[in-house]
Amino acid sequence: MNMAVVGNVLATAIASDDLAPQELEQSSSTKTGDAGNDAGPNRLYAVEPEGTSFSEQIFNSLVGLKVAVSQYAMHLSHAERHRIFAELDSVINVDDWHEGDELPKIAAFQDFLKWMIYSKYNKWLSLGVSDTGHLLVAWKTPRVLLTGEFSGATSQDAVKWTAQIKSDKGETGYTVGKCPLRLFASQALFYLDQAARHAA
Amino acid sequence: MAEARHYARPPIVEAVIEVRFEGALTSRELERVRDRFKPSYSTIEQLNKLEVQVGPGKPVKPVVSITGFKMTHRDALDVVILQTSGVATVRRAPYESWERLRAKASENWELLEKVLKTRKRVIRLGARFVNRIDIPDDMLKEKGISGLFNAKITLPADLGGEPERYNFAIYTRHAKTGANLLIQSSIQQKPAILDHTSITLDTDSSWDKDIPQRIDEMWAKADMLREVKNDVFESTITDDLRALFQ
Repeated sequence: MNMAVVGNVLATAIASDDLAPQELEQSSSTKTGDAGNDAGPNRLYAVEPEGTSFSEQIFNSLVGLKVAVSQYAMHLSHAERHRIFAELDSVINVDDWHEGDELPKIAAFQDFLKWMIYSKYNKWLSLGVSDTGHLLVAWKTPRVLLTGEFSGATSQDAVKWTAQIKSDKGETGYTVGKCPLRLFASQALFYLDQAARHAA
Repeated sequence: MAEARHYARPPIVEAVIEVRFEGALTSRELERVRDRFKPSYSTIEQLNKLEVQVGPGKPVKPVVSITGFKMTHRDALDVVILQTSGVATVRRAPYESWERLRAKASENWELLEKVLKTRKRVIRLGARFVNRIDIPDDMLKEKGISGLFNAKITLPADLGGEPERYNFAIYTRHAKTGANLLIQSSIQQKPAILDHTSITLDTDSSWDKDIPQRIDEMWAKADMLREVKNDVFESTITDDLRALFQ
């Protein structure tokens, strides 16, 4: 009788698509939680979250988002990480979520973190989650309210955004757009920096 | 021997100290240990091994068995992996210090032995440090991988230039201590941040013989792996990369 070993892989925050080296001898290597080569082609172990109750799903989702933050720890200050953790604790909780709600997509949240590191602009006002699991972010200056919806998609639709701008005379204008992640940095900073310069 | 340094923003994404013991825990023992760890590590994932038996004229028969539990602290940064033949203490980024990681590993080991009410014979001690170095594309273009890393793969000049992608795994022994050493490195397909290239440098050092069974001597032996991982890291990278972690 032939025996074949198959299965899935340990959950991973960063390495699922990576060109990770294979575990040449699984037994000779130290087990990692998620960043090591367990995501490589030689898959041996499957992971099943214990318990599937709604509250556990919420808690697991929260942990998944915090793991994503940890993968960017070297690019975020201690204060910024704690601020994000506190906001996640506030947004992802059993009281405010209901059975059937779409939980936040990790890829969408990672895109927000990538954007923040790339743009070097971390003065977000609030975080939220759309009914499709996209990450919603708001930024506010005295003249501009900017919102962004990060989808996690690697396409033209990576970020959908709206900008509400007030003039000195109290007039209000609205702009909407969608663009890839990198371009959103220049789009967002156009409004947010302009508002800051005007205030100065 | 490379000098160990302290970095403000170390690129370590995961640090692990693993202790393996002789024999294997039963499912019941695993569950008892899991329950004892649960108050501190409340998110639990069950690790399963799926075997598929294939034979002529017989239906395919999958057999699932529990191999352990991956348990995550509420802060999502500290993790314990319980397996039938070992316990791994994991710290995700931000990595704080060897002392803290070692203290956690020691605490977890003591708890495991306390729950099992027995001393386990340790047969392997391992320390694994997974670094992800995010290199600005401009720097990579200027210096090239060969100008940034001292451990690298090169091709004959007339065969190809700088590699666009690579992965390698080298098994060796650490020159000074004799510890087993597995060094792996690869370019991630998807960089972690925009306009950067992410390169993993994964150091797995271990002892699998002559491990003292006295607890203080055992941990002293484990502490030697700190020097090994520092040596590999500092010998492998260059000052251009060090500047990224300051």
